Amino acid sequence: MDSMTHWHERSEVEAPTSWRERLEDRTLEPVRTTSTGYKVLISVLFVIAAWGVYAWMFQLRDGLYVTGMRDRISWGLYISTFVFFIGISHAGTLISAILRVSHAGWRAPITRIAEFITVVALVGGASFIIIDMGRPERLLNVFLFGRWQSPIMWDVLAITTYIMSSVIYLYLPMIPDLALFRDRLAEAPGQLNALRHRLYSTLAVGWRGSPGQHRALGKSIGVMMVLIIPIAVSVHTVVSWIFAMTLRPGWNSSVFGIFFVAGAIFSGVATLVIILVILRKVYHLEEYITEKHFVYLGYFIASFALIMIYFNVTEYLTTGFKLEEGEEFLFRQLFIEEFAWMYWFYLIGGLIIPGLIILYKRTRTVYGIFVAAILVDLAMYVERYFIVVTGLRVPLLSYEPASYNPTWVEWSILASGVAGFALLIALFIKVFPIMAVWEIAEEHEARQFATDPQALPAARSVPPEVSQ
Amino acid sequence: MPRLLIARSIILGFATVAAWLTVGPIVAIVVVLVGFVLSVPAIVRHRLAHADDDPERTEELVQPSGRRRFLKLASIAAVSAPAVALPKALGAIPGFDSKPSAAGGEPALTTDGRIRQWTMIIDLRFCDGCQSVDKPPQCTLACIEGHFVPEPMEWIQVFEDELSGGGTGFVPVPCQQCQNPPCVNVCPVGATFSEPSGTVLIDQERCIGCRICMAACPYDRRFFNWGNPPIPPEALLSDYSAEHQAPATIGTVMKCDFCPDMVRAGSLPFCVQACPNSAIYYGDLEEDIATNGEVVVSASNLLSESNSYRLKENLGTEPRVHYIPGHGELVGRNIHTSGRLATKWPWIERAKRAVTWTR
Amino acid sequence: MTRLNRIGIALAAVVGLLVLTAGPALADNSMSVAAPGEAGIGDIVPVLVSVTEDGSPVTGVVVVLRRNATFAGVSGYVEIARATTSDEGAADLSYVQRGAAQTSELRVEVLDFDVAQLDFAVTSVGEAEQIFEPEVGLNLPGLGGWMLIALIGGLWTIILSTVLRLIVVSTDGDESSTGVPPRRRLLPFVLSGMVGLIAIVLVTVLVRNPATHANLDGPGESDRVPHSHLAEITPFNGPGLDEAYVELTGDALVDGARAFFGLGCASCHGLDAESGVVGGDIDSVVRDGFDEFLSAVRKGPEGMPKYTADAFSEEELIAIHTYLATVDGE
Repeated sequence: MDSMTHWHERSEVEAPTSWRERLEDRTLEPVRTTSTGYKVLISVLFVIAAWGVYAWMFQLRDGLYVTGMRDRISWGLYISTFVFFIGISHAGTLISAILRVSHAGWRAPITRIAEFITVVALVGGASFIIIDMGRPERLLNVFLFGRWQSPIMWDVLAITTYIMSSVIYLYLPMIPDLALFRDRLAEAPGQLNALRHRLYSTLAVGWRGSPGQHRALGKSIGVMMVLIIPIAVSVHTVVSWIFAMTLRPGWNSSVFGIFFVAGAIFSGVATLVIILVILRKVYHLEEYITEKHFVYLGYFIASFALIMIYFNVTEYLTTGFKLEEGEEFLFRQLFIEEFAWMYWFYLIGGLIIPGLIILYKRTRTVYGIFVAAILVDLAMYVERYFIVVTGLRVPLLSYEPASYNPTWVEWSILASGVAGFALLIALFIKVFPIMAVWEIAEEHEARQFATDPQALPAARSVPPEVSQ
Repeated sequence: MPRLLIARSIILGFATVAAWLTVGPIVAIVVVLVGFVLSVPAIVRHRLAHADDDPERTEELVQPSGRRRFLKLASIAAVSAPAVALPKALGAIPGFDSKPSAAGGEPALTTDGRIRQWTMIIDLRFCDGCQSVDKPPQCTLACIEGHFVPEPMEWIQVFEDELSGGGTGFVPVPCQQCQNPPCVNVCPVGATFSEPSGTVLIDQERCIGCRICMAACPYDRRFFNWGNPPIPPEALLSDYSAEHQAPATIGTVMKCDFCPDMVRAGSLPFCVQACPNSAIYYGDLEEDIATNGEVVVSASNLLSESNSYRLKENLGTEPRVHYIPGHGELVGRNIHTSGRLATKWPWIERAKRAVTWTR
Repeated sequence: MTRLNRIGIALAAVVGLLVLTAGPALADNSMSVAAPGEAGIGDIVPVLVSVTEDGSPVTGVVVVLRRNATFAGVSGYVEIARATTSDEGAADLSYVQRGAAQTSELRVEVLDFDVAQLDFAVTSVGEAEQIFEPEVGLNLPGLGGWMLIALIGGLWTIILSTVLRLIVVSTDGDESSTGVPPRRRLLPFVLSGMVGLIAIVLVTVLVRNPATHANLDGPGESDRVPHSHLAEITPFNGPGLDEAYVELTGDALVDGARAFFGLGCASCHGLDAESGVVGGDIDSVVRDGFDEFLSAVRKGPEGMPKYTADAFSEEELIAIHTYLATVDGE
């Protein structure tokens, strides 16, 4: 018996009702109780986020003058962060949709968190585009005068579609759980609970679990999970096309679309691992989110590390072999000079080492994978940064290459963005069910009564030595 | 049955209201009629099934066909009908059309009514980076003077390039006025646009400051107002036009505009007027004529006979700025005399509140 | 090649032949030109010239074809073709009819050879068709905005359909339940409305797509103020735009020019004081004498800043006035 079905194991000796109740209680716990540590965390995150808003005030008043960007390196930390956030948004929806489409049963406890990362990261990414604008108050011009021929407009279309559909894709499978919350929290007295009851009543749209409702909801989820995969792929493709549609050395590349999509999934899964490890520890979800989940996600990371190494080879070898005008400068700064430490950290620390951590059996533990995921996220941020900055730094005419150093305003806003991301996730787990109770239960039942081995694809594919 | 009816009427209502608001009442009536006709089979089937008085069977019969088809049609109608009609409706509102908003003049025409196609021919044989007059490049300075170009922008900038056999030559680089302009192609709001004369202009009243045009420009000829632009106070008296871009505003992109208003009025751009060696020709490809302010020449003849080239021609941007190869030899410059004086902004002392930055 | 051109070439050949055969009969240096009398814009106009000396062909002299033209106030005969005569004394000076004037006034000259220049004209006929188009690129039929509209519209229709299905969810279970939870229908409607609205906005944006190869609107208020209309081109010969501070040398002309450019007058009033982006033509004020000029600067008429003695000293203004009066007088 593998550890994947840890909860399954236990339930065999328990009455199904008590197993179900324990699951519901676990899911409800973050909503019911609030620890001091949580309050401290929220306060700290709030202060950092507020500091970023304060820094942004300076930028609104004095213009982008307060940043380190100038005419020659005209994009910097903000655009890198935008690309990174859009990247990690692929954690959720894409992973959860692919796993749902392929009926991978083990997904059930992690899909909710993954989908929420998507929504929050998208909101974060979109806000960084607005922060980067010289005239944010003219945002409406994008809708009044939008040109569909522009790569920026493709982003607007794709990201709007992606945000809306991932909100719906997050919300639809949550309806039965919201109904559960509505019913369970209605019992409790107090004004807060009355308020909650109203909220969950609204959100649960009268879900009673009737066959007709199941059918209608099932259909909607079925449509969305298929639809969201091409949308997610298109989003990061057009993000990369912001760069690839220019004539600059380092950006002018046909492989950029798929390179960025692979990087997005890579960093997205890593972010998912980081947040899962933290939530699992804090809310004692070990019964549902097992080591097997991390091993699976670790395999994802390892295989995408290989894919990313492959893309690095194909991208840099094809341009480096020919060394067209400007490429030599690009290669020099990227591999030997100013940005060399970033590139080699990315390649060794972010692609090779995480891959080795996961492939080596003794480090393939929850914490080993956690460390690998942190390395991957850092490396992917660095990659986004050096792609943006080195591309712009290549001189186009005979002038001295410019330099770019982010100012305190940019660092503050970046910190605020990361804090805001964490803050939104922390607030989310206070309001919404962090696990898909009904899907876990459904999966649980399917396993308990299944005789057909096809119903357990996940369990079959696990090498025996992983389980213990 | 009531369930079905309620869902149906709600969707129909939504589609109808949307159609009414955007296309008009007639289409709304059509939507209602189509909705009704489409639901007839479902109702009939429901009646038939109801005769059996088997609620489960009813659900099966009615739901998959009637409701689904109706849902599909209603949502298609709700999205597509307004989408077709709304633009027209919005276009009728003043100020809501999507053309470049900056007013300028009619395009300049030749006497027989053809649109002039501006070009610039820079004869590098005469350009010595203003070494002989011992001054900063006069083209840059006149441009700064005439357009109130904020520091540190140099819309026409004089670069010093290495020659293949050693020594240097000067190359003044204004905006190349591409006919396949990468900047125009990427602008999300159409704030930068190609004028009928082949000139690329920027509407600073529409620009959102996303700077993708700066990333796209392969000539580094776009400049951003990172802060409050350092311009003299008198520039604020100017009525803004995309044709001269004064006064500059924060958070927008600027560049050389080829002085379309000046040439339409029969004058020449500031840089052409200011060149002490008359190295810059400005002209019209359509009529095949150009002048440096002293002599008038045939543009095509000058270009072909002097082996002219354009910058980064392999990129396919089709610039309208042509160069005649040289290094100031016709004004007596030695190729080993390198260096030019730095550009200055004569009024910068009076630009009190402005901040300046380096490029 | 148009029919006209073929006729022209034939005509030229005949004339050329005539000239060659009749050559020995003619005395002294002579030149003859064969060219059609009219041509369409953009056509290649055949111009054949033959040069003879005492009836025999002249070889190896340079023949130049020039066109009378005026642009931006500069006029002259511009060279449009150049050729060296062949063994038969003929030179091919074919050119492209481009001139805007209805009639191209042309002139043939032989360099370093004693023969009178020859003037003739070629009249433009037919439609004045644009030769240069500012637009380039490919248009693949079917690929473009409408495809994107179909894609986005289709996607959002599907999204809307999934949200609309929530209405079914919220209305299901009416009869079966005893206590129907309140507010259950609010969200599906809000969500559907939102999705529908965003879809309409996105598709509207795509349809409205602004033209980037657009004509500018007609002359509006934002056109340049009474324009810097240089009647005749005066090549810039200012002493320098780079001097922010003016040290007076005593030579009023030099000082005045320096001050006019260095103190920023030229920024507004143009390089020749006949108006620029902001300021107007100041010739009349200059002509009215120094007192008028001084008071105008100090008072600041029509939105011009008031320049006190702290800004410009009287000596500087005298110098500027002297300089402008001289320039204007020229």
